[in-house]
Amino acid sequence: MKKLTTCLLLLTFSLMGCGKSASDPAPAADPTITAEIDFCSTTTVYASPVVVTGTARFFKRDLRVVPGVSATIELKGSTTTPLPIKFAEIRVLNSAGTVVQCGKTNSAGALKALDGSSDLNIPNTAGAYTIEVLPRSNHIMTVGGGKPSFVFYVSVKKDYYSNEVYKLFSSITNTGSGTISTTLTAYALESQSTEVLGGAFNIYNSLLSTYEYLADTANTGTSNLSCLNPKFDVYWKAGFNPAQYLYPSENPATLSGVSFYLRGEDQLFIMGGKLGSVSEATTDTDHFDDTVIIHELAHRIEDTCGKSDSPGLQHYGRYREDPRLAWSEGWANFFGAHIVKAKLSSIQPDVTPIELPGSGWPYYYDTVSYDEGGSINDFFYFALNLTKAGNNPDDNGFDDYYDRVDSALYPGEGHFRELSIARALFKGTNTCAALCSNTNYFSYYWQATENSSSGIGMGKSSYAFRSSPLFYDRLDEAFGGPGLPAGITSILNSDEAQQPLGSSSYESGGQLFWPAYGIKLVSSGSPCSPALRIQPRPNSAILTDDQIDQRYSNHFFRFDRATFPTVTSITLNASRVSGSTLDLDILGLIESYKLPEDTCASTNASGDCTSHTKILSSTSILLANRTNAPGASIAKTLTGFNSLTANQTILLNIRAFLSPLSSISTSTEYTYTLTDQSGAYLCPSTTF
Amino acid sequence: MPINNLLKSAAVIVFGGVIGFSAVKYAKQPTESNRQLASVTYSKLASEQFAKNLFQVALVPDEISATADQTSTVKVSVKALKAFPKGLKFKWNLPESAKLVSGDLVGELDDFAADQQKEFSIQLTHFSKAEKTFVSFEITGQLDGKQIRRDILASSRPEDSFEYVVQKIEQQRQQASDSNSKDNLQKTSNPKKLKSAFDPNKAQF
Repeated sequence: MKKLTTCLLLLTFSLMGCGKSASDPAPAADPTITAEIDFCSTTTVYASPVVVTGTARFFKRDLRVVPGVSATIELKGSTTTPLPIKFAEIRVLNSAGTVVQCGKTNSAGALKALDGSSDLNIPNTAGAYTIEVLPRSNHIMTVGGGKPSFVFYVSVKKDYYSNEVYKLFSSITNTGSGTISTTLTAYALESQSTEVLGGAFNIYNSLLSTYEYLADTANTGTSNLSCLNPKFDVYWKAGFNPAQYLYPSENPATLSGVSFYLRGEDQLFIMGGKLGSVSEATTDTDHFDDTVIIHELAHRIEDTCGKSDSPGLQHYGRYREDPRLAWSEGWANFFGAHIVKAKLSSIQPDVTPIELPGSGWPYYYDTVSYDEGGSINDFFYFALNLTKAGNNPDDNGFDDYYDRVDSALYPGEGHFRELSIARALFKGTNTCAALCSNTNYFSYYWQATENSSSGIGMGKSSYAFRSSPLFYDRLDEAFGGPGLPAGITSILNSDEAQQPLGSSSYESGGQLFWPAYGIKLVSSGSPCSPALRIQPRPNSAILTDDQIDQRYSNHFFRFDRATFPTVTSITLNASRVSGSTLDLDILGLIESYKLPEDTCASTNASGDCTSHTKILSSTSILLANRTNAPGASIAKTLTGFNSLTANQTILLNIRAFLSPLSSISTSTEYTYTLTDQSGAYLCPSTTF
Repeated sequence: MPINNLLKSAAVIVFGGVIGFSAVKYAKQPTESNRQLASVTYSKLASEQFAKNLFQVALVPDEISATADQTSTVKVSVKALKAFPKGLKFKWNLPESAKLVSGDLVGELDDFAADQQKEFSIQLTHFSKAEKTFVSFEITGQLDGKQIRRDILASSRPEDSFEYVVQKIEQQRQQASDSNSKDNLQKTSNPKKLKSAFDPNKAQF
């Protein structure tokens, strides 16, 4: 009865049937969800078997890459070179639908037994059989000497409810003896495959290609990648926008299309279109946008092998943003472009050298619709060349630059810019005509991000507020520091404005203008040396948009209760040095905070905010002293530290109040101290 | 007739009824504000984000004809969140088979005052329930050096989409959840916003 009930629900809410078969799954706890069918993992031995040979392959949409000052990348028709479907599950069914053999494709896409090398044998009973190849794998990766093995364990499925794995199938006739050869091909065009099966297998291929890259000791050394072993699920459907899962009430006609990774759930959701459309002029799809697919995988890798502290929130690739968000997105953008470059022949077989700059693939891109020779002429969102200079990056054609930075004018700027972070990472481990390190340092990147308790990476639980300053500190450690390789140092200091912790760029005349984001506080019997000085800046349309400037108008320190078990209060004493007279506040934010923006109190006729009121409470604010006390001298005491638990970590935020955000002089500076209730100074450490 | 077949037949009838009823309900559903999405993270860099901070676009429910030769109306409302000057361009993209009856396929947006709302509509044939086709409306251009891009996609048969299936399933989940919660005892006349089975805060884009 329970099974029938499940059947009814599924019939009501999906277009699936509920026929009986040997592989019917047990109902999941949620009646709207059907469990995924089990892996085909049993080899059956047959006397005098019939051998099945052949290959499984797929086509994808080809790219039209037009390099230049502002490159364009568009999807066009099908590739001419098929790619092999590698290490994928094979199921052989007889005419009754019973599975009679399991197998796996090999590295060339050839149909093989489960061991990947023996013949794929089926019984010598004559009749009709079906060969199925699924974008599903539980494959032990081949690794180099000294490196522990790890597993590529993934399913590409139609949707979250049916959990139905895509299938490519071929019907064969078994005459009872000999060898049967068949070729299974997944196509990319809707005219050839209504499900666009090539999309499902392309997603699978992008993921596998990434694992192959990581398995190579030239890229990750002997690092143990067993963190990648847990199974992960990919949900994709041609013509469907997975944002609808997140926002089911939203009208799908206006809901923006998006691919995403669900943190902590090992689930990727890839954009397949909208409302059944994969081809309309404005329809975005990501199943052939390999950099986007790998971008989402990068979030999963960061989640399982490192740790992400990204708070989400809006980001444009144009303005300063939360450094945790900038890091997570920058890492994922970099990773998408980097893997495509490193595995180009496995991912984009038809892209020719003439379509690329001399040093090879440099792009992070996202396409819209495709061009099959029609009149539509707008097929991409962006194609960013990550080898460009930080002060002259790609723009959108209107001199509106993607995260342009200026190392001399705004040191540290890049730590708040996701595309600057992506460029720095890309140039730091790749070869290009200029500005790159021209050395593969990815294995050091890996060490700097991983969460292994025996390692040095920032994924370890001892670190918090993970962002690019912390990454480069850990990278320094990976290189056996102090000191990063010259090629990387040059990128950080002179190109992408991501000067690392301790850089002289942040100091002048015994004053520290920017304590690295999230640097921990330590106790000192004397005033900090160098002294702390904050330089609040008016917001500008180019640098900050309508949110508070996290680079200049805020300082952020890590405060560990374990380091200060007896502190009951912290006092901020500030004195104006130059520029405008304003108010400074002191807040304690929870470790997983979303930076609370002040509230717009009034707007002009154009709708622009003309004044703000201080936000005093939010789920992120644990402690705050935001009394209104602007002046040349400011003294504010933050209390409540007794309420912290013994091992609690919070972020101490020294924050300038700007109302409106554009209201102050560009020369404004305040020097300040932080002291506890006994007068001891709290100063930024030299380490994270 | 075996009980299994009876139940299957019943289920198909129920399914058809649900689809039919809900399709009408869906087509007539009130325009929903998209404002909160402006603060949501999306991977599409910049152009769409800029647009979301500038204006809302919504599909205004209207009649979609039953047959191809009848006239359908597609209407879109644009509401300014901030004032902006004239100059942005709009464009309707029609299916190849469609024939425009009235309205401008391309044009320029006039200036908008903050909170001002304007509607854009076209009438066309061969956009009907008889066959699934799409009409898209896009606003593009440049303001203050920022590229603006926003589009919506109207389907003549939204009830055929998987987005629609998701809405139905999540509605059913919500109802099941509500019936088990104490909150259900204090239901108000205001319809609740559907809560996703997923935590959007966990999503990394």
